[in-house]
Amino acid sequence: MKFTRLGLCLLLFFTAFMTAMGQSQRKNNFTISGYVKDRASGEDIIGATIYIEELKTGVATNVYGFYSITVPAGDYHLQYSFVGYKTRSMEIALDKDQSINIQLQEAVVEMEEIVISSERPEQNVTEVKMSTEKLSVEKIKTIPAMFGEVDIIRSMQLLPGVQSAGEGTTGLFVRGGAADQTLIQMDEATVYNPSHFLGFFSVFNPDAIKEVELYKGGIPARFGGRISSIMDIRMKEGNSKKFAASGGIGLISSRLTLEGPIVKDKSSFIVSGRRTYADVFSAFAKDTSARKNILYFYDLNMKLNYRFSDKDKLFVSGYFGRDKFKFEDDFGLSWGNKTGTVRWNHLFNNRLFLNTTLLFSDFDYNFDINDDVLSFDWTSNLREFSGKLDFTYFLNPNHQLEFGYKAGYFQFSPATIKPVGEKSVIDAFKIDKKYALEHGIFLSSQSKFSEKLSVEYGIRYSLFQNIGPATVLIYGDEQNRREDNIIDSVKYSKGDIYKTYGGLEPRIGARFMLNRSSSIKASYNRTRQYLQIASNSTAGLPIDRWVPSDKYIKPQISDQIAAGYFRNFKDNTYEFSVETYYKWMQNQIDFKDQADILLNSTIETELLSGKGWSYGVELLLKKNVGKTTGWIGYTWSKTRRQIDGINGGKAYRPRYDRPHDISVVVNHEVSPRVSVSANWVYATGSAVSIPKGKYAFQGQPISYYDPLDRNGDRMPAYHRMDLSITLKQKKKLFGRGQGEWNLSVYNAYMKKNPWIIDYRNVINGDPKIDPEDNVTVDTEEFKSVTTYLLKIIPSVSYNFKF
Amino acid sequence: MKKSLFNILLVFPLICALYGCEETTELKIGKNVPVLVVDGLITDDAPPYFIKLSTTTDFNDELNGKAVNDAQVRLSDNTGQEETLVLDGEGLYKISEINGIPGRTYFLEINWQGKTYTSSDLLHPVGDIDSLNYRFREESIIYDEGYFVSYFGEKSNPESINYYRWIISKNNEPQTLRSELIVDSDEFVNGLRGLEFDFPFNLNDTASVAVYSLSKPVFDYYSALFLLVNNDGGVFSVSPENPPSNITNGALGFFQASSVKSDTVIIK
Repeated sequence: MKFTRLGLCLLLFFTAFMTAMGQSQRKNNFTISGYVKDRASGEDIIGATIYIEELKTGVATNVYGFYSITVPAGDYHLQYSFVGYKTRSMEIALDKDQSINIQLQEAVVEMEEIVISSERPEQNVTEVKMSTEKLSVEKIKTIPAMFGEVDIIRSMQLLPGVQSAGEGTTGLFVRGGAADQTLIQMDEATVYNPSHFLGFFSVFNPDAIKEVELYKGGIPARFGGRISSIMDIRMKEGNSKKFAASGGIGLISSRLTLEGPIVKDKSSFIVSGRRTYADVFSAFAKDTSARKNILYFYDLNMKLNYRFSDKDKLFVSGYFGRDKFKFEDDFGLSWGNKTGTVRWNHLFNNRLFLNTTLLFSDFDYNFDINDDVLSFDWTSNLREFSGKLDFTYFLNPNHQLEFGYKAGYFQFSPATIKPVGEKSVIDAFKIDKKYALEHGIFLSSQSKFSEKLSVEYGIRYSLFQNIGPATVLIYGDEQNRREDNIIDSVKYSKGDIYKTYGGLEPRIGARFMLNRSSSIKASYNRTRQYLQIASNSTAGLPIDRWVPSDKYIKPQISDQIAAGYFRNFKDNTYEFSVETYYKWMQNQIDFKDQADILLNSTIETELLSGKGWSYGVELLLKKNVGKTTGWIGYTWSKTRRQIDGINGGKAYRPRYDRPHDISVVVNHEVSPRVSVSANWVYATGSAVSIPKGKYAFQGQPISYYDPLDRNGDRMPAYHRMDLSITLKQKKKLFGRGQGEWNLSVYNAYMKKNPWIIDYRNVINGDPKIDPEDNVTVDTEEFKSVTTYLLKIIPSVSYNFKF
Repeated sequence: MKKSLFNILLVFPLICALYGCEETTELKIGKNVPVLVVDGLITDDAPPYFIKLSTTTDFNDELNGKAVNDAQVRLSDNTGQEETLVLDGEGLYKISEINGIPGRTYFLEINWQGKTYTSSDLLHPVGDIDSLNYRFREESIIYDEGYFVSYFGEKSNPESINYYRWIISKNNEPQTLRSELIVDSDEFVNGLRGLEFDFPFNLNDTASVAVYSLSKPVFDYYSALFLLVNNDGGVFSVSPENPPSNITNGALGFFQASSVKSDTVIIK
């Protein structure tokens, strides 16, 4: 607990220091500050820019919609702008500190005409931030979706540098990182397993989400905990102007969102739910008994906010989602996430902003078998309780400081098995709970050295502590840990700290303007990760086991350098960027091939560790305004891992190493009522091992693999096109609402993309014949069998809003 | 029990697979250098026992493996017995003098094409079979319709974790398809009381069950083999690997020493 106190002391020091600095700076300078909001809904706008024409300088609103800029006294023209919104200008005579809250109006149809009026280039060129992709939910909703289910993670996979492990997986593999190396957080609370239905869908209900930002590199110091990337999802706050309802009816799920003011302009709420129709899939089953099975998932998002004054705002948000499978009475599996966030924004003065947050996350799964003597119930969960303080200090337009502290408490219950019924022969079994603390303290600063050069630099110090109660096993040979090699165990009681890791994580980024519409940027960051999923497959089953760093599992460390060229064309209508990166990863963990992971209480005996590296080039051409919008992205990358004990110690490709990756996303507004969208993706096939021969063993054919060539082969290349059309209804729904139909086709040209390839005996040339079936066997050959999934999926959904 | 859990987990990718379609595809793979494959077993049952030697073949070869008839094979145990095995059938080397006795360790040495391969395995005792039982199950998503046999037996050693392999036979025909590779440990159960085999018998079938004791390395081999033959190559599977052999010098397969007990029941 010493570090908590240390952290607080440091924070107090910073606060005092900043306040003092602020006061000394004051003289003829005044501050303009306030919030930027959406005029229709009252939602805060993140990243809106405030630009002072006379000074050719500006700031952007932070993630809470707040901005602050301190400049000398004078008469100024201010411009408030945000992509997709009408720019607002105003004149002010600045002779005292001013609070200006602005509401921006969405530019509905004729966006072509609202060419950004200012002469300065768009943010993507001027800001220091790089390797970051931001998508608004409105944009994501225009992308054709599988089964008509708008999916945030799947949309992110269309961006350069982000790879998917294969069809129907929601993991984000960013710049050579594994899926568990991306921190996914919703309203700042970690979502440990973002998948529904084995990863075919993600847990984020688009109706409840405002915006998603993905940091692939140049990760700001305020983020920590994962080495590869950060996916920061912000929930909507709820319309503070009027009551609104929206929803949709789709092929597999229905959605309903209610939002509105509790006290107008002071307090609002949003409740948004989504549920799949029970058993869509099993309803198609030929086997009638299968139709009785339960198979559904749901998501429920809620958020409440209350504005006490312009200085104090409180937000409370929560997410609950669950998948449930039950097959007759024989077995059931369910898993789910819960998150909770309580956030208090406080303005000490018009330049010092504090966000205090309490966070809760829970991921659990439950597995039960009802099978006579083998009946049992298996539960597992992971909980996190965290708190953090984030300060933003707006020193002057050229200098902004952020600092803060986060502490988290983790509780791991990997598995508890209980026999069910008197006849059960199953032994009650439990893997000991583990407890840990993680702390992070950071300071980051943005400095504008000249018109051309801006630098963002920061440092984070993270610290991880394993705490008791715990029993730590001691092995005879620490390098060669085996169960038969345990020579002793050490017991620690509650609260004892028995292992500590920590270290600095420097982050730096710089932007140099080449001219008014182009810039070059570079960044370096080091990140550390103390929690990981124990898995030896690429995409885990829903029953992930998270394990903390401990005596035998060292924290993962990554260093990444990136450089890029950014350029806008035609009055910022087109944005172009090319980025290149190199990433080194230490203490990468893999498990022995036949490792038993879920029920292993000595998981360190199955663990292997080594290093990884990845490099690549990412090109992106984007058009954000006009009737036709979208992007073309291309990535070339290479990822390798080298772990002693795997592949004979030679470097190998992880499955998700897919050198070429192209995505094209286009949306065109044909008329105010009709819009069409298309996307096309192409990716090199996943890296896999193909048998180099075969042999017979106890009468069975077995495939033979080259022991020194793991994942040395590739699946066939993957490509696919999706289309969709959205038709807005002319007639008002019940006099005032708006309805729209969406028709979409997934895999429109019916490309048969191999999903899995396996090797087995094929009877009579038909891979569907089960060897246990009673058929006359004419031929029996050992063949490779390819399974294709999702050949073409047309779907229709109806969406409405009031 | 772990294996049966695993079986159920396998259902998930399979459910998804149901909605896709399957096709056989040609693999374009070149020639491969043949690798020695050993399938050796000595038990405490009545002799003879055999060590079967073969090599890998190319994936597109008609034959699944090719017999090896030109090896020198020697077997010994920790009491000093020694025997040179004689070729008796395609790739079959017959053990005629040495008997399997619980508690002894057996050593195998193979010389083939200038390379020496060695292996050893400890022969563990196996617990008694008390009885076999059966019951009728209707068709469900997990089970086919039929009579399912369950096993009541003793742990091999109540003081430690023991490993077993069961081979079930239907009308004296051993069922050894990939889904019927039944190996397990007794780590998570308080007794082998009522373990049900996932294999449907018909009325009037003769159902036999043989139980083999396994050493940990052989159990690990079987577990890995089970994973491999059930590996669908998809994102939920581990990268396929050759199972870890207890034979040196890069040979595939293994050498197993087991106690064996068996029992039979007629489904009526």
